[in-house]
Amino acid sequence: MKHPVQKLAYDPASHSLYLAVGERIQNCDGVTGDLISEWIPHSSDNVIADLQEPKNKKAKIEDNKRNVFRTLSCSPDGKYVVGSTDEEKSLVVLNADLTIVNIRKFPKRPSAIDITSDSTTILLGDKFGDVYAVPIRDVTYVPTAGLSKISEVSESESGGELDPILGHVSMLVDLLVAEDQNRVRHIISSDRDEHIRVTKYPESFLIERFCLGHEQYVSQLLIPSWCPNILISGGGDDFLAHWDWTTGELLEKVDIHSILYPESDKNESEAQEVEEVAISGIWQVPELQLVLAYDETAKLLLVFKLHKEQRKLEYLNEFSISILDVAVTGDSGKIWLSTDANNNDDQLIQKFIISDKGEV
Amino acid sequence: MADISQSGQLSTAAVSNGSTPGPTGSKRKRSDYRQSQQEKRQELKTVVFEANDISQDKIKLPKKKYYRQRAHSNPFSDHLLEYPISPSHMDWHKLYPALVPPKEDASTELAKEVEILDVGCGFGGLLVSLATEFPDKLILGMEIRVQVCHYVEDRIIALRQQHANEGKYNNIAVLRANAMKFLPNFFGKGQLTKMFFCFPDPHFKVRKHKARIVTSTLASEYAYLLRPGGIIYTITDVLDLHQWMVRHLESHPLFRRLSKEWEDEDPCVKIMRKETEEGKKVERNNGDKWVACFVRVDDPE
Repeated sequence: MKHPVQKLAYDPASHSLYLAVGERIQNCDGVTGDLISEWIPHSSDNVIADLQEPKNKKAKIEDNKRNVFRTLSCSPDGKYVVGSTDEEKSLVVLNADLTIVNIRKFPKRPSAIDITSDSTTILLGDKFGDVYAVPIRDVTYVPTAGLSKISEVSESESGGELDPILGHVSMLVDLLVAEDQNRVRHIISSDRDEHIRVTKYPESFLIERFCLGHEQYVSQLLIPSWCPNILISGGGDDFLAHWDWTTGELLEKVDIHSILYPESDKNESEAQEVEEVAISGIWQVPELQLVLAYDETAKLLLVFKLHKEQRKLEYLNEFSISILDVAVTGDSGKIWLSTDANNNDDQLIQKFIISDKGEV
Repeated sequence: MADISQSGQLSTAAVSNGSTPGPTGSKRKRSDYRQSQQEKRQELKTVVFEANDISQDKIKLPKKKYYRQRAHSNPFSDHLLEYPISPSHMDWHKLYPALVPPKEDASTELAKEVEILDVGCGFGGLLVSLATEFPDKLILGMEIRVQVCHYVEDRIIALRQQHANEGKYNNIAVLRANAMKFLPNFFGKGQLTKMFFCFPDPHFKVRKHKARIVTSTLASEYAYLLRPGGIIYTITDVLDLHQWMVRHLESHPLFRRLSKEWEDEDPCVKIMRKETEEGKKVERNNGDKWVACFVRVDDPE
């Protein structure tokens, strides 16, 4: 039984497609899909452990528990591949050729990562709601468990302690680093309690505003590169929210429930249970100004066109497919999909071409 | 009503005799009381009491003994709380019926907004004193414990009715809410001018410190809600907690600690020291009270 590819990341400059397959990271040719190299974790890697783990806690990792990657990202300059794992709560930084740079452990399971546009800093949100900013290479500072650096509890032995730069009091589900029209950097973060928060960066003590309007958890955030002031968000709600995040204004709620379940009878409570919306991915195809959204309950990939001038999201098409992640190459609509493989014959990653009308 | 007072006499007599009154006796009394209070509360929460209305019997102040609840509550659990999607979705008329028009009637004119917040208002002592100190301002108490919240609601209803002639106590209200998580749902940026944290849960154990109501990350949220020049007031009888709150707020770039001279001048500090139920309990036990106040400074350029 082949392990499916749970995350994809693409570096357009080198045409490299990176795959997170279980505990391993693979590098494939972005055009052909052929495997080039692979990184497998082993115990000789130099792991920087967090200092806050109480000493009397037994190691929870058993041999058969796999340390699977939950997130995967390429740095914008193409030099690094970064991923975070669940079991060991570690952040792994690899070079583009998949040689190891560093591994850092965090006190709580990381749930979302993003990399700043200058490729110097990784922003990491954890399941407790804290967001840390760590330099991509420098491991002098180690994250604490949200205890202040002015805490009198312990003096760190190896260098210093890293504090969260901002925190929600609820599980962090997604996060983005963004720049507004004045090139002022912000962090956009969403949590399980339906909040989308816009904070200044690096002055992360300054909350600019909230984008409030979701009634269910927000699992995915996207800023389309051709409309940098716009934020598209989705999760458990029946709609995708389309915001101007620089003002907090909700521009439109794009109903997706009726697209996913066109003949649904809303009065039937049984139908409602099966017809829950769960958006597990929102991606952009910038060269065609398309936005893709995947609902994992209905297993449908929806294609929208984002009209910049009219500030409207127009539904184009949908595809029934079972996928885990999408990597967009940025080259005339070519995208890689990672399929939820049902049998050994299925290809784990497949290449598609999307047209500007949303056809595949 | 007659029944209850009769059985009330029976219970107290039995207790003083040293024999067990039978838990059914006082339990029944408490649940009957709560039931009748619940009914009254539903009816009277949004009523505006007319001045000089002699037709109604005076509503009695609630008795604390019927609202006993465990002091501690976990702020991270879900609690089935209600909260608005955003501040503009909130209908404040339900809480301040005499002073805020219903949402449907709201004209484009800016209605009064809540400016003073008591986070963890307990049994409402501070709210009641602030009501007359700031009669023109809307003051809100937030409390996560159900029974305690009901007590404050009943207390406000009784006070509004008893003072209908003077139109007092229409400017205070209480809401059952989790202030750690949902304040931005209720209030817009820079809406508040004062926030009170009176005798918050100390969460003594180190691993529980993250549940404290003042932390570096929460301080950023408070800075968002307070307008520049707004004040955070803190008081506690636990020295460790006082030092913790001082450390975290002093190190936050948007707050500056105010001096002891300032504390001695400010009327709210005096009210905070004297008028809360916790404060009075601390007095009775000859405990120390530690005060720290902070002003929300302007955003850096």
